[in-house]
Order: sequence, then structure tokens, then C-alpha cells
Amino acid sequence: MSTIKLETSDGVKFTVKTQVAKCSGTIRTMLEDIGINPQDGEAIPLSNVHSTILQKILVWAEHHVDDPEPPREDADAAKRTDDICSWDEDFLKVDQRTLFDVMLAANYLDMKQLIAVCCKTVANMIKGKTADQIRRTFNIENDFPPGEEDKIRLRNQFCEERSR
Amino acid sequence: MSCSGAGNRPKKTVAPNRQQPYRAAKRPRFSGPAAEPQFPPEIWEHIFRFIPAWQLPQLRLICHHWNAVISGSPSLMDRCDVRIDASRLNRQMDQHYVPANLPPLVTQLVVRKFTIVSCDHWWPEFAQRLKELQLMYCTMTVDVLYGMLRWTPNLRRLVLYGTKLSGTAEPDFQLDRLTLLVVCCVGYEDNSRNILDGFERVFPRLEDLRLKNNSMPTNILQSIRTLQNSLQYLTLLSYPNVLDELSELQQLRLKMLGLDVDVQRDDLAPWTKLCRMQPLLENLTMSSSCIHVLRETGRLLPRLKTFTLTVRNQMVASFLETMPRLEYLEISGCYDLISFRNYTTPNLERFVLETIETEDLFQYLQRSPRLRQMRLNNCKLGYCEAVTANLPNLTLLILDDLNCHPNSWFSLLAHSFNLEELTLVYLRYLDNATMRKICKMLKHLKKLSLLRMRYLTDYSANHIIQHCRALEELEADYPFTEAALVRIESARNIHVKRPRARSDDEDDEEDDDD
Repeated sequence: MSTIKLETSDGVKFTVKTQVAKCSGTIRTMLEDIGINPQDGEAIPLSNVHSTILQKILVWAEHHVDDPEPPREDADAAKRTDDICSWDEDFLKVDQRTLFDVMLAANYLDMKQLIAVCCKTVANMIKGKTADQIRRTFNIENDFPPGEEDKIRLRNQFCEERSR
Repeated sequence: MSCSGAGNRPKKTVAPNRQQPYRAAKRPRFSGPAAEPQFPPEIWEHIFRFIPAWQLPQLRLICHHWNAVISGSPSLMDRCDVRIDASRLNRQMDQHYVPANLPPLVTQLVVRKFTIVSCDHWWPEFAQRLKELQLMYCTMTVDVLYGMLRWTPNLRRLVLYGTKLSGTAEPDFQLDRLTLLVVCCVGYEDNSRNILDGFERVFPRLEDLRLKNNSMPTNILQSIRTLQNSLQYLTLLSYPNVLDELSELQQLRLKMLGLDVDVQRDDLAPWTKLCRMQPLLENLTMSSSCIHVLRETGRLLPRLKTFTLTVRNQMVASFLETMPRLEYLEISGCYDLISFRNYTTPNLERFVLETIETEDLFQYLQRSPRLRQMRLNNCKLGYCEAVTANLPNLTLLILDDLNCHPNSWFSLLAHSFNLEELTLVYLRYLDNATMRKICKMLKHLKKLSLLRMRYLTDYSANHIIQHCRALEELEADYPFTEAALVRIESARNIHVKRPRARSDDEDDEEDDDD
């Protein structure tokens, strides 16, 4: 089975099965369109990904390498977040910082399935919480000057769930 | 760290900063909240797509950046209703009125309690984008209404609720995209004319028509005849004498029909004719206590999956034999005795029983292995009936004011060990000791609501903290003290919903829910 080398931002080199590496849209494009030849033994540089995070992502890719393509969903509808498979749930039981780094790296590497499952995990941290709880969870400062918050509140006053 | 939109472009800030978080990730002693995540807007948008519509407006108030992400995303704004409300001001919408600060990209608008005289100067441009318009408790002439609709070429859904109309107008335009029209509790100034005269010409592609409790003349059949080819869902409440005429419509092929006419033995002939004409029906709401009518219904509608029945007399539910494909069954009455005997509904997934007396319900439920969700409201159950087989698929259960022996509801809970959402309202004899047993039995409980439980005290709060390890949300009114609620909240990050303080505004809302 063919392998390729990946080099992370901190200079660590990984040897990975080509099929696993191709879970990443970014790497796939590099191999197929730009024509980087992995046989040369030259490592593909991933200048935005740290080795600890890449290691984690490769574990995920290894597990999901044979997954079928997901069906296209309606972008407008509210989506479910309770359909995360238990393996992924365990996989994402990490501290918040690691979760966010995995998301950024998955975004850079263009791994749609991993991004979706991370987004669901973060959405579950938001769902049903109060504004203060959300700000505390994500360490966000309320940067609205006094008064402006009320203005937005007025603007989307009484927004409700649709009946349909 | 601030949260401005520009600062989150990945190329500018994320790259130079990237060493910082990665180094920190290796040091587990930083266990507090991470620094605010520096995601590019598209990741936030992706996350927000998983948030239910009602919570999106709240997220706009978190910080500037989140507000910018949501109000800048057409697909997120598509799921946000925006309201213009005059309930406190009793304002007129005339040529001087301009709604302040309407966010861009609004596609769903609710206009509430306005007397609309004119909105000519801001409406035409704004309305182009609208996909859904609800006019609630507004007063206007038909001429103004059509004047507004003329500018909404993209409208999909129109709801007129509690609106008072007057005057007449001849529409000279069409809304080809409108698929849903709801007209509910709409009054007309002198009750002598039908404001809907001619509406079928404005909405030629209507698929879903719901007319409920309107104080208008009822010559609606002509309009339905014109729309026969597009209509798939039809609800007519407070329209007597429609059976004969509906059964005459040759081209009408409905998937859903809702009527509140009580179909009696004498109506068997027109009713069976109507059922024969509608073999595609999957969803039916009707009222009848005649077992012949109900059995014929099941026999003639082989696709029926969703059935909502109002009964006005006691009966044996033998019609269930004729409806083997039912997935949803709702029966409500007025403490009428219903016997389920040994009938089975093998595919039943959701079940609602309201204000009914029954003695053999649990036996029926045990023969419905797929049951996922159930609500029992105001029901009187058999005195010593108990559940003896497991209901492994039941994940949602609402028990509201049951009149039965406590052993009955306890046996039901004991065999529903996979419950994730449980609501208990005014359940007699539920005390702390029983609550402890329930908490120990239901390991997967995520949401728990305890309302009007007079025998519970703060001891139950301790049981919840100790045993409900999966609990994410608790709703409770007076049984628990504030201190107990705070303890639950802090114990495991459980979201506690307290009873809402009543405000003037809510009183106002309540007036409306008729």
C-alpha cells in the first residue's frame, strides 16, 4: 500500500497511508491537481497544523477512511446534533482548546465530515444555554457598549421558532 | 480578547498566533475555559446551522462577531422570524411609519396588532425578499392586503391570524410560489361577504390550505375546486356540511385532511365516498364515535400513517384492526371510555391520549414495540393495571394529571428504562422516596420536567444530583427551593429552567391564544 509523508508546522514528519491522507481535501488536491509526487520521498508541508493535532486527526481519518460520502443536506433546515456516533463522541472528549485546534486544522485540511461532527459538538455546547453561560463557556467578552445590546434585542424582538 | 469580525480572518491572525494554543494544548494544567476560539466566520456559520431557530436571535446578542456572522448569512436569517409589534403602542401603520432597524436579509416577517393604512414607501423594496408573512391581529382593508401582497413575488407562506378585514378588492396579480395559506380566526366587518372570494386566482399553486374558525360565510368549495390539482394538505375547521361537496371533487388527491365535523352513522355514505376519492391520504384528523364509520375509514385508506381522532362517546377501538400501518395515533375525548381489547398497532411510534378513560391501555402499549413517544393527559386508567413488558424504544414520555393507582404509573416508568425526556405534571402520590427510585431507574434521562408536584421537596433534588448522571436540563416549579436549584445547576452543569415570572406582556400573549 502506498504511503506519503506529511510534515507539520513544528517539523515532525509523519508517514501515512495515501488513502488515509486523502480524507483531507487539501492533500487530495495537492496530490491530484498540483501534481506533487509522493514517490520522491518529499514530505508535504502542512504549515498550519501542529504535530499533536495532526496525530489526533490521523487517528480519526484512519477510523473513518472507508465511510461512504454523506448525502447532501438541505442547507436551510435546522439540523440534528444528536446523531454523533459514539466513537466520535469519545474521540472528541478532549479539552476545549484541543477541540478548537482540531476544528481549525480540519478546516485547513478540508475534512468535511470531521468539521461537521466538531460543529455539532460545539453546537451542543450552545444549545439551550443562557447568554451568560455561553459567554462563560467560550470565554467571550460581551463587547456591546451599553444600549447597543438593547438595540439589537429590539431589532429581533420576539423571534420565535417556526411552527412548521 | 476582543471578538471583532475582521480579526478573525484566518490568514491574518490565526497563522501568526498558532504556536500559542498548540503549546498550551500540551499542558493539561490549564483546565479552565480555553481562550475564545479564533474561528473564521464560515466555521461559526456552520456551527450555528445546528442551532434551533428560536435560539438564533439570542446568539446575536453574545458579541459583535456572532451578530455579524448571523445577520450576514442568508441561510441563517432564513430561519429567523422578525416581528414588528404594536401591541403596547396600538399604532397605525400609515405613510409616516417606517419600521426602525429592520435587519437586512429578513425573509420571515410577523406584523402584529397594527392597524395598517398604508406602507407604500418602505414595503415594495423590503417585501421582495420575503418568503413568509404573518399578519396577526391586524386591522386592514382587503385593498391594503392585496396592495401589500402585490410586492411579495417570493412569498411561500402566508398566515392571517385574528385579522379584521373590511372592504373589497379585485386582485390583478398572482403569487406563483405561495404553497401555504393559513386563515385562522379572521373576521370580516359585516360578516356578509366572503373575503376569500377569488383568492384561488392569486395563489394558483397552493398545496396546503388551512381554514380555521373564521367568522365568514362558508362557500369555500368553489375555491377548493379550482385548486384541486395542486392541493395536497387541507384543513377545514368550523366548516359544517362540507362532506358531500368534498366527495364530489374528482381531481383532488390529498395526502392530509383535517376536519372537525362529527361524522355520524347517517353520514356513512358521503364519508365512504370521500374516502374512496382519497386513497392517498396518509394523515387524517377527524371526529367520530361511530365504529362503522371508523372501520370503513381504515379499510378505504390503506396508507394511513397518522390518525388524530376526537370521540364523543364510549367505544371499542376495533377500527385499529383496519389501520395496521399507523405510526401516530392521537385520541381525545371527554372522559369517554375506550377499550383497546387485544388490538395491535405494530408500527406505532407516537401515541397521545387525552381526556379518556380506559382499562386496558397498558396491554395495548406492550403490543407496540416500536413506541418512541407518548403523552397521556387527563386520563383515567384501570385501577390495578400494570406494565409487565419492557418498552425499550420509548424515549419521550409525558404524564400529565393521571387518575390511576400509583403502582400503574410506576410500573410504566420502571419498564421505560431508555427514557431520555420525561415530563411529570401533577402526578398524585409521587414523593421523595419514589423519586429516588425513578432517578435510579432512568439512567439515560437527559431532560426532566417536574411541575405541580406537591409532595416533592429538596431531598429529591439530591436524588437527581446523585443518580441522574446524564441529565442536561431540568424544569421545575415550586417543589424545589432556589438553593436546591442552584445546587443542581452547579453540580453538573445542568441547565435549570425556572418557572417564568409573569409579565404584562405575557398576559397579553395569553389573551391571544384562543
